[in-house]
Amino acid sequence: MEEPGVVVRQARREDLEEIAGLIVRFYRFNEEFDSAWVSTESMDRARNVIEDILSDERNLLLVAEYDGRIVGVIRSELQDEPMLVNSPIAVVKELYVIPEYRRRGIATKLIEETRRILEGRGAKILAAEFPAHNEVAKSFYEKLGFRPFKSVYISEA
Amino acid sequence: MGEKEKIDWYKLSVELHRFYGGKIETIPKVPIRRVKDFAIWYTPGVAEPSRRASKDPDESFELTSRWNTIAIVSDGTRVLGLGSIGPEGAYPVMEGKALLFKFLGGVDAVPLVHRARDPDKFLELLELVEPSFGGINLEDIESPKCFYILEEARKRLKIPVWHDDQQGTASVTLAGLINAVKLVGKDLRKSRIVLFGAGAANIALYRILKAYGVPPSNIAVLDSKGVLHPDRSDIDKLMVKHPWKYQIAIETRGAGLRPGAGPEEALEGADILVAASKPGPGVIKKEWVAKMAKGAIVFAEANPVPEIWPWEAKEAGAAIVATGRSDLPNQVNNSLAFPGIFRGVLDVRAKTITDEMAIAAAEEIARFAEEKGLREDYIIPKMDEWDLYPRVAAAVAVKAVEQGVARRTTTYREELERAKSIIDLTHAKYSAIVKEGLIKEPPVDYPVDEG
Repeated sequence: MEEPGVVVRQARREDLEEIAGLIVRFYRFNEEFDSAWVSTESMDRARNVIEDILSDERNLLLVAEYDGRIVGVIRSELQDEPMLVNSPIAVVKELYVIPEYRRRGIATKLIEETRRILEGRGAKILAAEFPAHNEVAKSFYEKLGFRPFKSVYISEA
Repeated sequence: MGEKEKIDWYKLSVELHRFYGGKIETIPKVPIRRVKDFAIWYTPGVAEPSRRASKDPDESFELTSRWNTIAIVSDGTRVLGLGSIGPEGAYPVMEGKALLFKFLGGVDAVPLVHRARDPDKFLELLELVEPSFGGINLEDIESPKCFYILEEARKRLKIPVWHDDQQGTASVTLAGLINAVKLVGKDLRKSRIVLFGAGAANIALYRILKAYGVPPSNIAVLDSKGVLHPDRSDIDKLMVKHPWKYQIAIETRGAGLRPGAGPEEALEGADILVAASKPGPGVIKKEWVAKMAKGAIVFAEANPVPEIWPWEAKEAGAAIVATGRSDLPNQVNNSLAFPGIFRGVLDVRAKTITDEMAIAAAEEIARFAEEKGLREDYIIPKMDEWDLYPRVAAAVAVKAVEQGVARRTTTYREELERAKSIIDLTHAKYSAIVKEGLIKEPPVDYPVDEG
């Protein structure tokens, strides 16, 4: 469903505060599935990380804005896979939409815009990372035509 | 209540359950005059009803007892206040419910306790046994599993599925609220409502209130962590682990409260409080009730002890108080709803019980009390007002026909008469058995006072 009031655009420095909040919520959510996702609760740290990302050309940070408020965010990065013909691949590292604004196609819009921009930067494949047990994310990406590609298994070192 | 002597119901109950060997049995309802009659009721004659029911499954509602038989199904994961005590533990409760179904609604009910704790297995079981029954009454299943099971079962089965701990409690609560707001001169659809506790009863009540026309933004629903709110820190967790709470948070937007708001804040200026949480007293504080709007309505439904005692709520300014207890005025009692509701749906061979049908039951229960004359201590009928049950049946049956979910058509008057005659026949048969001395006098008993 198309949401007329929603604008997807590249993130700007003045969005930093709001983006940091959403990214922290994304990780807090992931932690529900596996404690290894535990991440910084420090907003200062989150802001610094995002500030670095903003100036990194291998990264793409898009936001969905509605009525002057940032309601969704997506960060992706280009990753080299030297052995793969399809290198580099674009990987969605974080995607978060505020609960009240879900089920309106905002996440889909963020994905499609990411796909469009990173295709232009040479990516042949778009990938997405999320917790292995997040069934909601799984079905979301599958609906958009994604398929399982690789698994990451971990054990505490 | 006059007797101050304490009755040991537990001890008495065990002795009598043992003495009678449970509470219900099956008795034939057709004439058996001689051995030859078995050729009608059994082979060879029965082959033809079998052929017909096989060809047209709807015929099974006419040629067999299916039309009047329901299963009371439980996995024993949340029995009374006893917790997860398993299927054997649940059986006495289910059998007791079967007794109420028969006595109050003329409905034949079969306890069906089982070991399928996995929700999908539970659902599979329901689908597998569906041909045996005209309806399913779910009972004593833990939350949030019960929401998933009810939702799915309603979709998958072509017979009515009802979870009494959700819809039953919600319907009777709605009946009480309809009358309570009349007494204080308010409009339910414009009232600020606080639901304290987000278990089976209140989550179902939220849905029923919404269907009744109360705007979600007027309803604050609180669990142990405070108001359900889209900006609550665990909101994403809820989306995955408890989508029902999540949906309420999104739809109500926390009723205008701030994300961390607790009961005290939520109740400030509220018109109605429905607590369905954990046994009191002292769970709801007097100071909180004191902050509610003038003409406050307080339903404290926890058993055995309400979240706040009625006199405490009254001292704090509540105009009307209801509880779940039979020894206090205004008892929110599921038994007012389920016998009549099932009587009605079975009589029209309904395929489901919609929320609108539950609301029709609530409105009929409310109307019944209103006709008797509403008072601050009489907003809901009492269980021994026997005329109520056929009326609930009639209201529900008519609504089922109206909504196109009934296999048969009827009118209010016709169903009222039919329900009355079925229930009366049950009582007449039972009285005859008792009169004949075929049910032994209890060897132990409790003292009876004048009431």
